[in-house]
Amino acid sequence: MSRLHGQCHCGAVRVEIEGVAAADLPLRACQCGFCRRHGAVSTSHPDATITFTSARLTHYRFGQRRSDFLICAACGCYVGAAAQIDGGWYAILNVRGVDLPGFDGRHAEPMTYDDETPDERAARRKTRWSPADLTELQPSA
Amino acid sequence: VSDTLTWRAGGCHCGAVRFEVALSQHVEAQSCNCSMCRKVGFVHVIVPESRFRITAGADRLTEYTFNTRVAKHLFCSVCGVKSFYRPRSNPDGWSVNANCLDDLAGLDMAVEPFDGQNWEQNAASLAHLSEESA
Repeated sequence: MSRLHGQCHCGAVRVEIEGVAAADLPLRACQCGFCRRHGAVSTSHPDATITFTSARLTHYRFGQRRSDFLICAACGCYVGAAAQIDGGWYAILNVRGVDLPGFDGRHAEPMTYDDETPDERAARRKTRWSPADLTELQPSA
Repeated sequence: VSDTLTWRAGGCHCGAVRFEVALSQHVEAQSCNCSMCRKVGFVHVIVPESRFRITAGADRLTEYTFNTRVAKHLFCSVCGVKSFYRPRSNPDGWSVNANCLDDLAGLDMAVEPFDGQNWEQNAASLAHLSEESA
């Protein structure tokens, strides 16, 4: 079983994507203002599972405000995003932000999602994003 | 005249942090392969102290340092974006993130690779970028 590990620069946030080999994971370059400023390229696959482990995440929401963009509070790295859809968590990883291995030299496909309605966005994420384990992220309070 | 400086604005994604930087039409930028720059996709435009100013959100910046702790990595505490920082190569100046400029229109920007994985051998090549002109 393929399992890739990554982390932010300071190591406070660790991520894992399991179930699909790097060569079979897509690489997407979202063109939105957030991803561009973070230099982000994303991956996810419906047959892979993503796990975030951290106690030091900043959650940032913008636009339709239906997903949490996850940033290490200590070093500022954008590590990935998560959204709750129909009761389940789905996520993507920022391949650069966590230095996920196996993507060097790969072309990232430019993506634009500006025209999506909230329902279209949720449907796309449910199809393309990975089921996610965010147990470590639940607020303790 | 190509070396006339124009003040250009930029900032983070949420709008809390704003800056202005004076650039000539021709801009020499660097894409660095070090562990930090790779993770934040930073595209460096290094300028002298006098050509940079923070116009909003200085109190929203979080500082991150590592290794020699000379570089002062600064990111927005709300959206995480690193719009600019004090680079170790040019601690007397600033490095602005080209990805955070509002508008690239009229700029002729050349992005060159910088081998930050071998920083000690290469940093001297950047020193002139933060020198104040006479």
